Amino acid sequence: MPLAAVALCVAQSLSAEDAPAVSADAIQEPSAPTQPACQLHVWPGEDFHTVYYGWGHGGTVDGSQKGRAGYDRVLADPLSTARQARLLEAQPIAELLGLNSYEVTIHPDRLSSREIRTKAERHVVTSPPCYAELMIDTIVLQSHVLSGRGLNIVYRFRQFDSDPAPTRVFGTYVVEPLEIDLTDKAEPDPVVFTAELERAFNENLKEFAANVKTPRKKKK
Amino acid sequence: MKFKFCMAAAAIVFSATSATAQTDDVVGESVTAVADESAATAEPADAERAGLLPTEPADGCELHIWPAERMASQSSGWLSGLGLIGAIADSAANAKTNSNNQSLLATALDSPSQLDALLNLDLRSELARSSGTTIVLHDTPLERKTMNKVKNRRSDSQVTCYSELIVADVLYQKSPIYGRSLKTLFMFRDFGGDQKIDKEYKAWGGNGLKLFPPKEGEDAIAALDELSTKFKDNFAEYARNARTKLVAK
Repeated sequence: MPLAAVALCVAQSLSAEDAPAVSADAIQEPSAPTQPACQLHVWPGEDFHTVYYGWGHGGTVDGSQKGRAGYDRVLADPLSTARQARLLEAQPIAELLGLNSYEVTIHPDRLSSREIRTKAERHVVTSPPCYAELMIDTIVLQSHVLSGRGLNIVYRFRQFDSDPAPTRVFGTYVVEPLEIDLTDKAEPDPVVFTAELERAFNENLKEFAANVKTPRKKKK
Repeated sequence: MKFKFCMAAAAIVFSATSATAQTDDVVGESVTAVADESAATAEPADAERAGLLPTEPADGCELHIWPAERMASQSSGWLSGLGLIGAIADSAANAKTNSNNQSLLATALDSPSQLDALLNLDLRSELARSSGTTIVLHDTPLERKTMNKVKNRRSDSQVTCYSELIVADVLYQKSPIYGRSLKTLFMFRDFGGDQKIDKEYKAWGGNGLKLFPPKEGEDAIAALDELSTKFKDNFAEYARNARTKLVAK
């Protein structure tokens, strides 16, 4: 089944005339007259990973989820793919990215890391020439005994025109500090933990979008 | 004062762990227990991947591969050369960088990416396996601390021609003298037809980095891709040494 057919279309129109809601049929037929000029497709990521540096131990990826001794206990699924999709729906993503005329489609499923990193062409084949995609590559709850905790999200953004190759490819990571207390003894309060991760997720996305609009220059 | 002592202890323990892990030979406690549960029950990864089945008729040999679960970043500056206090200051100064780098390692070299990178190489030739060897990938990493202890097969395969390649550690290092590098610890074990290791070789492969680590907010794709490239280079270096050492055993 084409990705577009299962896409959860979310109209994030900035005005009624420039971004009408799109049906699945319209996405499947690029030549249809109702198709918007530009589309932005967004994919959520996998549930978060964890990394940890403690006193004399650490390094195991997902040590928390695996229940390893000494690793902070975390709750399963506070940023599941479905929850990310809901958070993304609530954000004015096109506006944040400076793509005001684009109609946004939030996909309910994530792409695999292989798809994200190796597929050169657009992920939605039946899309208009004016097309962009935003993928959440990886989310990591990082924790260091000396520097604290943060939500590190790696994003990939690509823009296309009529050419098969993207006109722009940009990917980076953003770390949003987390204000939560975690221990290896007990699970965190689910309400507090989830709220903080959701806050960090939303702030992180805004920071990434700002980087898309004005990328930082590399130091020579 | 107590806080500083703790930081120093941590720095020392990290260093000691790294130094210990860099020995070539495996001298671990022999444990005859069954392989850990996650390994025994783990389903082989995507059977549709290209390159798993030999192009020639399968000869009954299997090479099982596991990715690494442990990844670390060790950045040190000139302060580390100034004794204990300098090492403490260095650890504190690089804490956030190391934490960020650790996340990026976990991203760029997640289990599927490690396996894909290895499968891009001619593993049968690199590890001197027969051309009819079937490759079996395991998506779930083995628990790191069991790696040296468990001496029998880590999968439940009963084939009479069986070998394993285990990625043990992925380490990013930055030092003021040697610069930036990605190191990877691999372990190869050849069992033949039973549960006893006939040949084993464990060693690091390491190569310099030019792009990694990227700064937050700047375009990071090339730097992340570099990790995958160097991971493959590390394996090629390891495999060259492995072919020599294993023949000599």
